[in-house]
Amino acid sequence: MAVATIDVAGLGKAYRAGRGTPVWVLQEVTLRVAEGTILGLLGPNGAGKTTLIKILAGLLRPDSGSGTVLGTDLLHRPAAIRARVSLVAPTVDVGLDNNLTVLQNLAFWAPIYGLRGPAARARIADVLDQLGLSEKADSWPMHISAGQRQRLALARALLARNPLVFLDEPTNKLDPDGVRAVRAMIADLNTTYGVTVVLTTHVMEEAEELCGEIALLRAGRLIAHRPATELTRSLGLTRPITLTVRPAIATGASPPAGWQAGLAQLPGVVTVAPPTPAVAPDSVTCVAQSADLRATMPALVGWVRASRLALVSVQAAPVTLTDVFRVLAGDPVAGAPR
Amino acid sequence: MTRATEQQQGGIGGFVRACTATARLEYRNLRYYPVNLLLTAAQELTAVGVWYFVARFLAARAGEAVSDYGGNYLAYVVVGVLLNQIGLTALNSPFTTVSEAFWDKRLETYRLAVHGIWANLLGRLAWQVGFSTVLQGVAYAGLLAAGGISVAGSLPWGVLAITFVLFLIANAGLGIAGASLFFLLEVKSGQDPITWAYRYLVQLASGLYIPVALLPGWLHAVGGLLPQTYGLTAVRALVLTGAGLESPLVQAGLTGLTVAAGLCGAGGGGLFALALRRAEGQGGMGVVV
Repeated sequence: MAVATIDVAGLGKAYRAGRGTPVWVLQEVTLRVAEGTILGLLGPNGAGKTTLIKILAGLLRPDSGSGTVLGTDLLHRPAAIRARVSLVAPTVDVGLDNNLTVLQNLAFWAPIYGLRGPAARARIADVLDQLGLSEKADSWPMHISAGQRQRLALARALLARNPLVFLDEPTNKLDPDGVRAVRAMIADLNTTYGVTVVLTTHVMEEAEELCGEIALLRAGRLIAHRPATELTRSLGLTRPITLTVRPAIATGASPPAGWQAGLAQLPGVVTVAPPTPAVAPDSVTCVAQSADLRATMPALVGWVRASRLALVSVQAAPVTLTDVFRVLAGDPVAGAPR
Repeated sequence: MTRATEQQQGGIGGFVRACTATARLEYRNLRYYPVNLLLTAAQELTAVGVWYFVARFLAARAGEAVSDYGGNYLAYVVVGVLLNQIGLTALNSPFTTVSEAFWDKRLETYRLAVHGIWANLLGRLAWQVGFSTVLQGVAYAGLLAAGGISVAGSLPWGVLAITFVLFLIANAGLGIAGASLFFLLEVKSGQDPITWAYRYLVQLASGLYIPVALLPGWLHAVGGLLPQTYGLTAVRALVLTGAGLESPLVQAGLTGLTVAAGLCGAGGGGLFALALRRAEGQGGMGVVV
């Protein structure tokens, strides 16, 4: 079994407002993340993602539970953990000084992270280049876009090449180019340097692209933690297949009634809706719900031929993390496409 | 694959470099707005200017009260105010530093660096105290030229330097204790009660303006608790009379200051570490409570 970078059990955290009753924002979180993993930490707002990240980074002490991060005891040696992790907060401008240029900002932080001399200069040039900020090196933070400032914050955090990086909504507010650059950098950190990444995001597409494992938090509880591909298959969610067909030999008439009965017999098909006339001449459209597109689609093609029908069009999309998120987290807003 | 297994460099050298970086940042931020630099300098010099003016009127009749320090009341007040201004800088700097870092959302970022928070605290403190010391030194030179005050013919520089360092440690320690209330009492703006109370107690009971001998007995007891009392006693004796370690005033001042520096330095550091742990156990350092 791979070495666990994060191995915690029963983590909980309660916040107190004044003398009021403590509110548990995180409860019984047990999580094991192998070295070299990119873990997507998903959940609706207020699910406890940032609290969990701060606990794992050694910035917050849990009120229950225990475990290790990078092999170091989370409860007793948080300082040793902090010295070996990087964290990028979702808020733009964190750690940036508007009176220093982009380059000067990084040059300021380099010695704070223990870098010096040529090694510091090389690392700064490296992160600027990777995040597409080289041309902005002499610009003031207030003269670059919010997305570029977010990348600068990321560059600052990545000056220290730590084996574990926490990214709290790292592509928040970025334009498409910025999103691509940051995602490429995350992937590069992972593949080139073996960095373990824990990433929170509301963008399911991002989680699907980057994350090998997904953990879902809801109301402070970890409700799922599996490989991304397994998670999408595990819930038995169905996806619609929109099929438009016409008779293989033009007869001037629609396919005969009842033609779709055989469709319901195909592997993975759960339900078939009644057909409706299609825009194309002599054609009808039918929507079938499949629980297993990989099994249904090849069988569907064979069935169309055997039924002496011509395929006008077929549309199908696999179950995505968005679907999983909606079902598990119960958040219809999450997963909105970018 | 190149494994990312670096660990941030600890050690004294790394800490000093980190402190230097934060000190330079403080300087650059002031330099970025030259008017701020000038205003900071003006504010630093205002107190000594005002008290130089006031003490000139009192000097003729108050000389006898400060005979232990050479009998020049104007010089007595000027040296005291100059030294106290430097002490106040060390006193106020930690709370301001923590408060600014918190509101600028930098505190957690500093916390994730191996020396971050302490380097920021002490680096800024070093710059501000250095800047204040230079300004007060220039002010003293200027007032010497203006007339009315004097300085001993030969100064015991070594003892003076040790006294000055102990004085700074005591004040910085109190300041750091005050900064810890940012988390311990959730004092998130204004001024913390420790440094606020200390500033007024110093004016009242340390002999800053009025020789301790003239104060009522109960104020003597209060003054005995203040590091400033010992610092002012020793430095005035050293600078105004040229006395060395053999002087009872210097001995008393230095002894009291050593104890105060030890207690305030260790106490402030311990309290601040406790405050950081408390913050981590509650809402963290990046949350407005």
